[in-house]
Amino acid sequence: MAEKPGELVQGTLDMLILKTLALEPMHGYGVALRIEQISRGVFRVNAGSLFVGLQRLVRAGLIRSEWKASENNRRAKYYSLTEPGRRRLNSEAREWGKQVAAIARILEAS
Amino acid sequence: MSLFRVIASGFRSLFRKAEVDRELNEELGTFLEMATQEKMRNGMSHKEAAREVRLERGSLEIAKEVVAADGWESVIETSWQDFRYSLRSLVKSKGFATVAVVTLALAIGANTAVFSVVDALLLRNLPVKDPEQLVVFDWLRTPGSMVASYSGYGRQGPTPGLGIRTSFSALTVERFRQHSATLSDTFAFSPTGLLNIDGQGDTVSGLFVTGRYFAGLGIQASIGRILSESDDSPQAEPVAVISHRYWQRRFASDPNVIGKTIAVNRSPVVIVGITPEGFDGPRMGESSDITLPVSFAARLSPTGRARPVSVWWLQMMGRLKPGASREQALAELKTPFADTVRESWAARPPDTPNTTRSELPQLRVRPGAQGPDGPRLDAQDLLSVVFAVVAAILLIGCVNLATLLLVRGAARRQEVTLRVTLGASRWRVLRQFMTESLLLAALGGIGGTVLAFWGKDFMAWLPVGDTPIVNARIDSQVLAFTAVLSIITSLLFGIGPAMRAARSNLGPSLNISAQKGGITRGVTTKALLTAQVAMSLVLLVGSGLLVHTIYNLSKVDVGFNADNVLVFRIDPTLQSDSSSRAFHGYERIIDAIETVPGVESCTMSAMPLIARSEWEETVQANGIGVPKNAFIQVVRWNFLKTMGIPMVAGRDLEATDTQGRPRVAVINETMARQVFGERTPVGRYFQFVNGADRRVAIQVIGVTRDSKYASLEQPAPPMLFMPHSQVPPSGMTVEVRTTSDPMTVASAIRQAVRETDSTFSLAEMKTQRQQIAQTMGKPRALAILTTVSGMIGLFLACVGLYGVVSYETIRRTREIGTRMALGARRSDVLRLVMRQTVVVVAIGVGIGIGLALAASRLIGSLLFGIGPSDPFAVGSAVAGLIVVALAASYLPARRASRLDPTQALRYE
Repeated sequence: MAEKPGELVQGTLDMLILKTLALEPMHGYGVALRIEQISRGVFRVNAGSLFVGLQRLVRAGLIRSEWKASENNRRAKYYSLTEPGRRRLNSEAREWGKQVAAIARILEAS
Repeated sequence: MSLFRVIASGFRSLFRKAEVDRELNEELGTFLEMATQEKMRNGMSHKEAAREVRLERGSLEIAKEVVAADGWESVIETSWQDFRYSLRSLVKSKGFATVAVVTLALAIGANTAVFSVVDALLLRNLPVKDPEQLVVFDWLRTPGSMVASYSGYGRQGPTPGLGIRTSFSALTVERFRQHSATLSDTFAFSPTGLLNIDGQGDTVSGLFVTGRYFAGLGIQASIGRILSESDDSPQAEPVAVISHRYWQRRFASDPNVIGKTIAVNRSPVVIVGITPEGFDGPRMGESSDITLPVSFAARLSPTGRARPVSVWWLQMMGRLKPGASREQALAELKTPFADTVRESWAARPPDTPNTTRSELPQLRVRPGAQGPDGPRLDAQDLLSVVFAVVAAILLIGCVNLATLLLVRGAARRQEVTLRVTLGASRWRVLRQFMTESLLLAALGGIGGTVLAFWGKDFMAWLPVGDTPIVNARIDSQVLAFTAVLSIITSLLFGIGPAMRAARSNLGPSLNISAQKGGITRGVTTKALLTAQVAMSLVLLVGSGLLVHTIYNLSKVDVGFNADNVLVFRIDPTLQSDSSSRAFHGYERIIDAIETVPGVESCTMSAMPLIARSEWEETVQANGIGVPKNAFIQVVRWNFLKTMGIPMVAGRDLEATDTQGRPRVAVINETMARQVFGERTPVGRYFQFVNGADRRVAIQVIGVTRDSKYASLEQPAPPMLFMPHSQVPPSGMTVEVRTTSDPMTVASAIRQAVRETDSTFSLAEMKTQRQQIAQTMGKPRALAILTTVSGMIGLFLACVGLYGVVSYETIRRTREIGTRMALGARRSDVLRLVMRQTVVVVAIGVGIGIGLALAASRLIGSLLFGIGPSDPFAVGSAVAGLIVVALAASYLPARRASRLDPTQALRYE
């Protein structure tokens, strides 16, 4: 049986959304697709979690949204990173790097 | 910054819900469409693609719910849903809702009303200027220390052997005033005891105060002037300040009362001012109607001289200067205090037994914002009984509601199970149930507040029985209490049933009907019912004891014939220039009344009988005996005959005992014994120790049998009857003996008086029996309170029993049907159902008796002619409760026993 797409590590979805949006403004489906593509199918984003995450980030002022026409001329809500969002992404990425390195060291220690 | 956005966006979701929903729908629609297109590009059909997306991404409907539930606003929204849902479910079960709201309204209303009195009495500051600057002085009495002669209040101190004493010598007051640098004012006061005004049935109490009293408290007169230091001197003209309350009651708020002279225990005093409304003196819980200078106390004392400095009789307060502390005041006043103890000890009368005292008492300076605590704490005892009663009602109400909710919760199990199955969290179910409880409590709280507006006056009157002790108000503080109480109440009765509902198991109850699967674990319900029975019994026993007290009081032999007597006050409205004119006016009126058909005879007395009005004087037998107290009655010559008080020896008063003839009096047996030391001292003389006619020899011409004077509870006091023709007071109580119901001739008598002499005013017309009933105010009010609350408690317990037994029999319909099909008789079924009730009632009664015996001691002092553990009162309460409780559960049990087995088995 093929490997099933996994759930995200707790609390990382927000960071991944921010990272995805750092490249270019995108609609909800685009965000989900991009996360799957870049992770090579390891992560699959559930619609409920995705939109809750987007709403939470909008309310925190880290991203903003506007309605635009999509590539195939549908009306879609596009999300883009705000300046506080960019700063948050940088700090979270740094923090994440530190933690991953630390965990890796612990796991390799024995 | 982002907090603002969170709130703003939340409000947008709340108030522009349709728009937000549409946007979310569209966004999710786009999402679904894009994902589907993607799949179709890989060669799937549209239908297949859409199914695949749902599998991968989850249901979009659920996504919508999850997004909507994420913000803070969703809590408000779901609360609103819960609220509407609760309202609907309560409207659907109107019976339950009505019982619940009425129960809560009664319970919360009673508690609010009592709290408003407690608040006014125990929590509020004196209505004076800057009350927090005030201090009260008292001292601790050690076993080895005592001042010379103590005449004041005392109570048990913080440790055994240490008594708190609150009164000081005039010397101490003067020294503190002179020597303190921390106090801006020092003043003292002492209760006057009951004073007689104008020789009528008008008894007031008030305070003797030092010159700086009003200035120290910061009280200004509302009309006229306050008392000042120059009034407090033996040479000054005697003056008085009266309270707003007394001014309204006695003088009908007449502003011309300033400058009027009244007789206080027969000494003339000029009224100079009226205190502001709401100020009743520093002793909260006691209203002081009249304020007199300390110097005036000398005129009322038996010796006519001021109290020596060796007598400690003044309560003392002070006002701290801004910035000064109580500790500083104590430090500087210790020495002056010790000096006055020694000086007053040295000044004691030479015949005092010489006991050596070595220790000095210890002065204390206590916060005085609420005044000294004597009368407040006395009322507290009774208030605690009342509070206990209303708290018991609240508890019974909560327990009852909890029982009903448990039963209701069991019946709603299917509904809960359905909701949990559909994805509601336990927390959400709990919240839903609690919303319902809160809604009930809120409705009950509103009802209770309405009831409390009416009930507070009743409560304020309760402790004393004839005058309200405080101005109880329903204000923001009291309303806050009610709100908190309502919330606590809803938690008390709601949390248990809600937890149980939220805990319910999914499996069995969904496919099996509630009647079979919803098994209430009877233990909780039964424990709650037992508690209700026990508390109801406590109230019923209290009610039984108090009702019995009322009965005993009504059976007291008053010593005169109180039936068919009409009484009313009559006052000359004009200041009569001569007492003989007033006297002839009275005589004409009496003659007129005696011609009214249905009137047997008519008489008058200065004091109404059994109205808690007293006129006490000090008398001396033969002018040489030990001064003794006697109670005065000034009467028309036919008083004893009309009232039916029989003579024991000598002659009755006669119409010929008038002004100018030798002074005579008839005395009762108790006075004969106590003052003269013999049974029939006819022909002997006595005299008054003070007053205008002191040292005038008065001859005893007869002795009457004892009769009651001011109250039913006290044994007959020493009494003397003097003819009003020889001692004319200005207002009188008229007693009319009639041949039938006295009220039928009332209007004819009014008319006769009006036609004869319009310068007299009639007031307070009632029968002698009504007059007597009024003095039973306190026990009667408590009897009503406990009886009503006992009945409510019993009723609630029965509703609980009835509800639970009904529910149980419905639940066990099939079981009962099976038993009957197998040959059980009706009596067997009856026994089966009744058994649990019997157990509940038996345990409840057992606990209740124990509690009742402990609680009835609290009201011991109010009881008359019955002990607090009277077996008949306890027994009848128990019997009544058992009968009613069994009847309440017999009805559903009988219904169960009449079941048709075939129908019962098909039941569902």
